[in-house]
Amino acid sequence: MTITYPRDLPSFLASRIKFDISRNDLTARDGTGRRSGVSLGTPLWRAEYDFEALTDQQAIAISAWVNSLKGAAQTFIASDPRRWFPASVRLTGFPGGFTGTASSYSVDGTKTVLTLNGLPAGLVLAAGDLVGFLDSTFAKRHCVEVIEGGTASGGGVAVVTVNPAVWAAVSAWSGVAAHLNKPGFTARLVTSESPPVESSPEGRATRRISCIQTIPA
Amino acid sequence: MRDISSTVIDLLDEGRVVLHAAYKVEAATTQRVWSGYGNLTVLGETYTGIGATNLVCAITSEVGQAANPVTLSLSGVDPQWIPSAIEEDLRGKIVSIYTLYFDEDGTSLLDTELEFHGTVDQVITAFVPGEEGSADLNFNLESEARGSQRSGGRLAAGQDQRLIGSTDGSMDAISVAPDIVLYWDGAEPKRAAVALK
Repeated sequence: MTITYPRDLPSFLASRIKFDISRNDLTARDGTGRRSGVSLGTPLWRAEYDFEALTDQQAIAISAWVNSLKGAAQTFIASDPRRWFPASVRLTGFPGGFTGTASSYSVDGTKTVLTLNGLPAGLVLAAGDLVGFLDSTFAKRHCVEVIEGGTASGGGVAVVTVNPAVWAAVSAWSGVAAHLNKPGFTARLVTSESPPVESSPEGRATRRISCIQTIPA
Repeated sequence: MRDISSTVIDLLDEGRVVLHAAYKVEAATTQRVWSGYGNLTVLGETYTGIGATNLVCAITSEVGQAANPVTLSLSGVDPQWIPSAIEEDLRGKIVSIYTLYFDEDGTSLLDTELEFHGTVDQVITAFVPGEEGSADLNFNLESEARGSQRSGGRLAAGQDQRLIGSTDGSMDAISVAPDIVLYWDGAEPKRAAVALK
C-alpha cells in the first residue's frame, strides 16, 4: 500500500507521553528582584512518546514506521492521546451527531481569542483541551491549547482563549478548518533523540519517538 | 540611531516582548526572509518565513566598535531553501538585518529596528550528515563602517588633518606615535604600538 504523509502515529499506546510547547525564553533578574526578558522566535509544540513493554513484533513494526519517515525528511501527525477529545465529552463522545469539526472559526487581532461556530449547544471547552486546525488536504496541521475555557451558546458559538496563537500562516492554508477530534500538529522526527529499539532478554522492547512541530507554508 | 517606540520600551521593561528578525539581501532577486512562519509585511515589503529562530541572535555589538563583522548563521534551515539563497553571486551585495518586536503572543508586529547594514563578504553552506546533522547557511557580512574596499585598520594621520585644515598640524605627532620605540627597564625595545597595546 502506498504511504501518505504525514503519517499517523503507530496505533500502539505509548506508555509515557510528553506533549508541550517549546519556547525560547531569555530572562534576567537584577538585584532588586526585577525580572526582565524577551522571548525569541515562534513557540513550537514538542512531543515525546515512549513505547514500553513492546512485543518483538510491535517493536519491529514501530522501527519500520520510524524508518518510513526517512529521518526528518517526512512528516507525521503528533497528537496527545489524553486530549483527543474535549475533557467534557471524553467518555461520552460528541452529542447529536457532531463530527468534531467547527463550521467556521475566527480569531481576534492577537490571534489568541478564538471563536468557534457550529458546535453543539452547551459543549464545554475547558482549559487544557486542544483545538486543531487542518487544511483541506488534511496534510497541514496545527493545534492550540485552550487556556481559558468557554461553553458553546444555544447557537453553537464558543469563545475561548488559546495558546500558542493561531498563526497567520495557519489561517492562510487552503480550506483551513478548526476541529476538536484528535487535534495534532505536523511533526518531524528529532532523530538524535529517537534512539533505536532496545530489546531485552524477556522479549520486551522499548522505543522512544521525539518530534518537533513544523508549520507548513 | 534607534528610535524604539515607548510602547515597546514599556513592554521590554515588563519582559513581554517576542523578538524575531528579518534580513534582506539586495541582489538581482532581492531576498527577504524572516525568522517566523508565513509571509510578513515589514516596512511595506513582503518577507518569507523560514522558521529559523536562531536568526534572532545574529548580532553582537559593542559600544565604540565601529566595524564589527557579523556572521549570520541559519542552521536548521530547510535545505530546499538554501539553493535559492545562493544561486547567484552575493559578494558585495547590500544586507539589512532588522529586529522585529512583537507583542507577547508573537502575532502583532509593534516595531521594526534596523540592526545592521552592510555587505556580504562570504556565503558558506555546510551540510553535516548524521544524527546530529544540520544544514547551515553562513553569511559573513561586513559592516558599512568598514569603508569601501578597505580591509585593514588605518590611523588618522597628520596628512588627513591637513586636508581638513592646511595649517592644522595637531595630528602630526599622533600619526607617528605608534612607531616611536620605547626602551623600558632593560626590556627589549618595542614600538609603542606594541608595548602599549
